[in-house]
Amino acid sequence: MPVVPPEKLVKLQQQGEGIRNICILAHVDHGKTSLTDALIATNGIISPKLAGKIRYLDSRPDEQLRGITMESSAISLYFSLLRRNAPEAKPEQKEYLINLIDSPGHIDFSSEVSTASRLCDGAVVLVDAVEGVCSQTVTVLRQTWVEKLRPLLVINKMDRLITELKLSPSEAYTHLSKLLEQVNAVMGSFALGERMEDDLRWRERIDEKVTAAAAAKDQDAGDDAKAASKGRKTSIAEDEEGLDTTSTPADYEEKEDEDIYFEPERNNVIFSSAIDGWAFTPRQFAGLYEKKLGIKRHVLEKVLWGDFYLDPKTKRILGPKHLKGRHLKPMFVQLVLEQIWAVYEATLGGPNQKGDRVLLEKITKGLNLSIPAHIMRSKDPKALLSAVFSAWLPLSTALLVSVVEQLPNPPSAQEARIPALLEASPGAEHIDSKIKDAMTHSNASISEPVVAYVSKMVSIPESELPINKRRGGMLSADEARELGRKKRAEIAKAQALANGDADVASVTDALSSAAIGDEEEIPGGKIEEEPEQDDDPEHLIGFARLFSGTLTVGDEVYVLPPKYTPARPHALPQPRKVTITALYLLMGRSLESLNTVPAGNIVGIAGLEGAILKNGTICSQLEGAPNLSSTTAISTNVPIVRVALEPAFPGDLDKMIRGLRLLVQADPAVLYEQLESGEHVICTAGELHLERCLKDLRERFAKCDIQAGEAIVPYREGIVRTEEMNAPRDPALGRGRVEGVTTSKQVTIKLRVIPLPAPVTEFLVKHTGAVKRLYSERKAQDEERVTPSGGNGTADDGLEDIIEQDIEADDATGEGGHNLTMAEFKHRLSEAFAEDKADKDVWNGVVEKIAAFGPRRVGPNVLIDLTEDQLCGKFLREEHEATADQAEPTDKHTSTFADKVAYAFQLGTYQGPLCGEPVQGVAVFLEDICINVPEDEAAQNVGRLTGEIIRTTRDSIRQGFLDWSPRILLAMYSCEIQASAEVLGRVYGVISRRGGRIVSESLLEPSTNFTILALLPVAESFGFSDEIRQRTSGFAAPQLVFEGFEMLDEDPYWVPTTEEELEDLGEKADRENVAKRYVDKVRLRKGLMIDRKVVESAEKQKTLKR
Amino acid sequence: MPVGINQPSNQIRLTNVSLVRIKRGKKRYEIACYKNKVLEYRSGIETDLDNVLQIHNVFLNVSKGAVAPHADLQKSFPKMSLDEIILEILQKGELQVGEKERNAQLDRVHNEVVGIVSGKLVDPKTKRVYTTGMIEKALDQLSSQGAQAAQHEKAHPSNASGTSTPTSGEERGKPTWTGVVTTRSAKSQALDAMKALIAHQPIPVARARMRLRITCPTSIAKQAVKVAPKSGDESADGDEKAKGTVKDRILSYVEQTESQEASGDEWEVIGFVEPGDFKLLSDFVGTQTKGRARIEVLNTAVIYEGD
Repeated sequence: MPVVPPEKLVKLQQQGEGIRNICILAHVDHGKTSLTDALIATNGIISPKLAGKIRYLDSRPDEQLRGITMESSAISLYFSLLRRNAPEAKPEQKEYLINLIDSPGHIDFSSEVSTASRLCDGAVVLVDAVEGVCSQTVTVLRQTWVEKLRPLLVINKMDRLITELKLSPSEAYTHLSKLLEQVNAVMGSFALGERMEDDLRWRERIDEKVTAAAAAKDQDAGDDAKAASKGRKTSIAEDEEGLDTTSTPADYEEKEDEDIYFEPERNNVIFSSAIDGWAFTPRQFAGLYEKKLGIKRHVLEKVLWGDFYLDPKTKRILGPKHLKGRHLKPMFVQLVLEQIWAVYEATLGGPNQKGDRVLLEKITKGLNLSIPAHIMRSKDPKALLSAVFSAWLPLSTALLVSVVEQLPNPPSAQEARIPALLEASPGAEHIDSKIKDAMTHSNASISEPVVAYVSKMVSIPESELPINKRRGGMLSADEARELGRKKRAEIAKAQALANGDADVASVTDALSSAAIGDEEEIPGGKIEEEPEQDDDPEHLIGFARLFSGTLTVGDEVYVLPPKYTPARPHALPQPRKVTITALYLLMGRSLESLNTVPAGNIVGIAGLEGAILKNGTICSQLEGAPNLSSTTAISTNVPIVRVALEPAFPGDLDKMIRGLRLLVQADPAVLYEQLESGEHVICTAGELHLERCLKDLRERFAKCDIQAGEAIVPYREGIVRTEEMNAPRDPALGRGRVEGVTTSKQVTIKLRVIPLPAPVTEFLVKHTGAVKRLYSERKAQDEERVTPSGGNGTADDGLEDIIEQDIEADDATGEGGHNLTMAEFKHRLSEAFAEDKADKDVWNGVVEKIAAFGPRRVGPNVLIDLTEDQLCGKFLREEHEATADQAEPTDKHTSTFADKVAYAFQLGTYQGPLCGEPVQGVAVFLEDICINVPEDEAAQNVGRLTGEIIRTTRDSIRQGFLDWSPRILLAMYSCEIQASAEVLGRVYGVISRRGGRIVSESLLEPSTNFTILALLPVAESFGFSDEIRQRTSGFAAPQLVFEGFEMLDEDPYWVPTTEEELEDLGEKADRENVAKRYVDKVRLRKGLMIDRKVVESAEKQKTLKR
Repeated sequence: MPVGINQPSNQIRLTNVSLVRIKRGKKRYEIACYKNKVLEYRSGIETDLDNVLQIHNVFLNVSKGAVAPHADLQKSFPKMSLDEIILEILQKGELQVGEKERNAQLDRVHNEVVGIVSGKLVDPKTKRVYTTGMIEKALDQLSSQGAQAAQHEKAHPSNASGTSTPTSGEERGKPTWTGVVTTRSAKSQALDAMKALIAHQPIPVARARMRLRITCPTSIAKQAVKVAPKSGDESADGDEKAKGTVKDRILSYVEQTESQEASGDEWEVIGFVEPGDFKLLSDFVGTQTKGRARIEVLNTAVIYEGD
């Protein structure tokens, strides 16, 4: 095959009808990349002999090493087809450009699949003939369904049926038809799901209509039921064509669902073996047998697959009814499979696995194939096999012909897909009709608006960019001459330098540097090459599909972020305008520069660096532009594996952060966040994905050694009132009440710690935002009071605005938490207090006395001021009150100390007594502060007393805390798992072993999958996804979302005390105290005291000297 | 074999033993305990005496097997039973700390120090704290640097005394970090570690600032700084300082002011103060204003709080 020059591809890009954008999807190891290899070989990029082994598109070293694809990559291929419009007409050559995207199959990289499928119009779905439908096969089929891609089924690895399973042709036929049924069942379930949804929607609509006419309702319901049952029948009997679904009597209009199924007679199924390089469709065989059997081609196409038999005598085709007890093989077996089996027998079979020469001769003669003599003589039966097949049933022809024939070209595909796509995008009604039109018709003229969807950013080292390299084969004559001249000059120079005795090496050096260098003058090409290798800056290139218009280098376009909506085009953040600096034809690992690209193509765009984070839309105008990137279903799996990263050498931190930023842009499935604790956490889709990310970071983005570790898990501490608690420390004072005296005995602080009622805690946790806002409002008010201005309203408004923007910015927490006014907040808080019936008198009127929230002034703990003259000041005071309590110069000193107490309260709740984690759900009643020494003495000692008071108060709070039954609260993930019924038990096993709890379980209606909702402690989630995938062989896909804190109902300090308990559990409490284990883990990390024995049993220590 | 002859074969050697000694009345008493257990017993984690004591007796010399005579014991520990004496020795005697106990202790102190340090140091650019892991690595780097420097000095003693003395003197001026010890409190060690980290900057660090609100009556703020009444002997020094007003002095402590306003008779400033200066500032305010000015700690360590 001759190498196809890129110019030809560029030319083909202009013809919309000749383009096919396809992606290859399958479960891991079903042969996507091998199949792609065979296609690439047709363009002469790799040798046909190596096809299937070299895995050209797996350009990363680790991809090659592991033998799996990790990144989707695209390549443009040229294909020409001789087509006869009429049977006797002269064949007419048509040229096609096939933009092919190879996608990874491993579940960790399924986001790559979704980004790839959004760019394409058609999909080639591979299924392993032996393994059949696997978990990812279902996923990719759903992807094609959701994205409305026209699928083409390839049953790959047919050779395994022959060589591994050693099936006979008829057995293989049954196997294949079963496999096909499986695939169609999957497709059917999608169709059914959608149909039922439609049905439901339709029914709702009807319901609305019919509310007036109740009488008609019954009738309708009956019809619906009928319709539904009919629908199910169709899906079950998908291979039989007999059932006509459109004839249902109901008003509901059935959608045609025949075209979603894979049927060989409709030519959307290909049988192939990528490793041996062959593939066929029934149509090909129909063509072969047309003359031989004298049966019309189109008839043969219909009957070649299925229960049809060839009468050996009459040469007529019989249906199963006319078999009359005769034992005939189906036509597919007889005419197709047996031939292929024969070839295998002739080459690989035979007496000593060396093939059967005689049979081979016969076959080659019969098929009219000419096999080169040197191959015929060769000892390698594999070579012979592939030679025969490449002459007889070349893979590329079968596949590419089907692709060209079956899959739509961009204009027609866009016509079908775009309206729905736009409908689903936000603010659809505001999209400019001109753009809509241009996109639907894939209008490529320059005057049309440009719309492109960038699915991901690919990071390419600078040396790989085509500006910096050029291959010899792609030079035009002029350039070659230019190069030759330069080369000669270079040689002359080298010779001059070496004083005439230039050795061979220097000449070759000069040659290579000239070959690599571009048109600009590079006197020292070799010198420049070296540093480039050292630090190769990474460039981000957008992987994009152009939907309309023509994109030219130097164009200025708007980049629309994923949150953009055409309803408010100028909303913050304002879409940026960037200039396209270069366009590239994607050719696997290499790129070719382009000048312009018309609509319907897949292209690499440079110049978007910094403008697009992960994906986005490019549009030539701002108003009325569609937002293609926010449409849902793009990221099918939320990243779930969380690790904290740290550079091996602390000085490399900056490098690492820079690298992480690049990584996040280059990989859509990675999330990066910097936590409050200073940790750099990345979330990846799986362990394998994590490994790839780390490798990328180490070698490309950060270029420093990076260690990954478990992220620090947050905890909370709380207290509860339980039946059996230890006796209060000081019975005279009552539980939780502490009298703290400072070390100098000058100040006594009386306070009481009480657990907050659960609804109050919940309320406070939920409305942290509101507290925060109230706090900042109060601060603003204070400031206003200080500045003598009466304009209360304006400042408030400004604040309101800011908050409003806040709400828009993070809709994650935006469930009304922010916009509570002071009065409302107070009202609801007191309502929450009122819910607690037990000690009403304690909580009565408490809201008015709240002095502070803590920790950090916003937390779910309250400091309640019970002192006589309200030392701490009220937090929740109304504005009019504010002026009143300003004048309180009364007892300056005690109020000074009150500040300290309030501060100590913040400290005490920030680090609880259990393991120094924040406290939750505690009320501290400050009952009294009394100063035991004369005023002025205290005033002199303010400096010293400050520290003492803070310490005393903090310790008293802790003491009071421990007087109750302490509890540790675990951070929880809510975990949604979709699993099939078979693996349900294993899922439960994994969850319960990790201390999780099942919340609910429901059947996902049309499919047989279950949705399980569980809560899982964050502390136990390390390695969870990996374990669950392993245990369920990939049939369960968990998603973890941080849920909140949940109390672990076990006192970490509990030890058996009563006789009964001692009898049951023994002195050491055989059962592990889970709460204590968590507490000890944290204490160990923080270096706090742990009452754990260094040596458990003293006499069993090793006595020998080491 | 005849009894009483001291031969290697009939000696019973105590293994796995750790001695606790006490000196009372010119006599030394010892008890034989298990290794790694005495500290646990003292801290109250181990309650079972049998798990601590090897032999329920008091010795003059454990390795020779010399049991303390009853008379001696009565003399040194008057009116105490043997059990009480053993407990007394266990609680008060001097002991060998076992290897494992020492390691556990060191680990604990180390973790605590690192914990304190990582809570108080921030990246000066982003005001974010570092993780304990990063701090640990940076400290490791410092201690290995210190070790290398010490070796270097040892290797070239002549050089150190010669021309390069000034530079090495400078080096020595910088606080160094050589790892934790169990004898000092974690807090003071953490302060040392912080100083060393700030001086050497293996990673960009700075102390997290305190955020304070200082309010002061305007009349006092305008006053000149009074000489502290006690420090009569330092009057020369005091005179020099007395030039500025109270306000100026307060502001000199504040590293970065967030807001500063005077309304009516109150002057208020909110700003960031280096934690080391806080004590000086509060002393100053306490003495100069007789408690009429107030310092309110808004935040002890200003770090970035993501929400």
